[in-house]
Amino acid sequence: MTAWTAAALALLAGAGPLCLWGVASGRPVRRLVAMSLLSTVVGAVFLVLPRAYGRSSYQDLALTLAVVSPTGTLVFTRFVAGADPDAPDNGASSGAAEEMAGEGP
Amino acid sequence: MNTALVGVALGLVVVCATIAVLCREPARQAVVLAALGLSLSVLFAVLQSPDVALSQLAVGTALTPLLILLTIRKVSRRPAADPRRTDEEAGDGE
Repeated sequence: MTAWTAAALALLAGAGPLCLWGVASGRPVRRLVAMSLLSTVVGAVFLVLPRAYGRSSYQDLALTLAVVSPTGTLVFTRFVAGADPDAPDNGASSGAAEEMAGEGP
Repeated sequence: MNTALVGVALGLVVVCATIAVLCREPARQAVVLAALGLSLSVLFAVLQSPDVALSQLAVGTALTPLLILLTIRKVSRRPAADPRRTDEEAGDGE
């Protein structure tokens, strides 16, 4: 087992389940943050894997993930924070977040 | 050494898919589906097929949650988007 494989294994087995737990529980904003952290961890894994396999062409995965991941985060942010663009700012955002979390009045 | 990587990626996919099935609300399910797309792309990359991982990354991480969220917005705008507005409309109606 080379050091690069061990690094990828540590990233996947250590940070992956933690991010999955964050994605699976909590309020929508917390899920969004855990999702961003998971994409960052996977980007690091995609940068380590070409070193482990000795194929530098696998780095295209990390490049594509770096392009795609902020787009997905923006989509979720638009849905969580801007559920109703016509309403006033603070009441709309907190009301939408609580409504999505299922804890709203 | 590659077997351990494949096993860990497969375990992540299994856990994430189970969470996605057990989650009942579509807005939360979209987030879990994005995480499932990431896990699947890691599994495909570990199984030495980076082109499949590339396609899975583009479709499963960005496109599927976007379509699901747009559908949720389109479907549930009237009854659940803003309860205050429906109250005002009810007051105007009365």
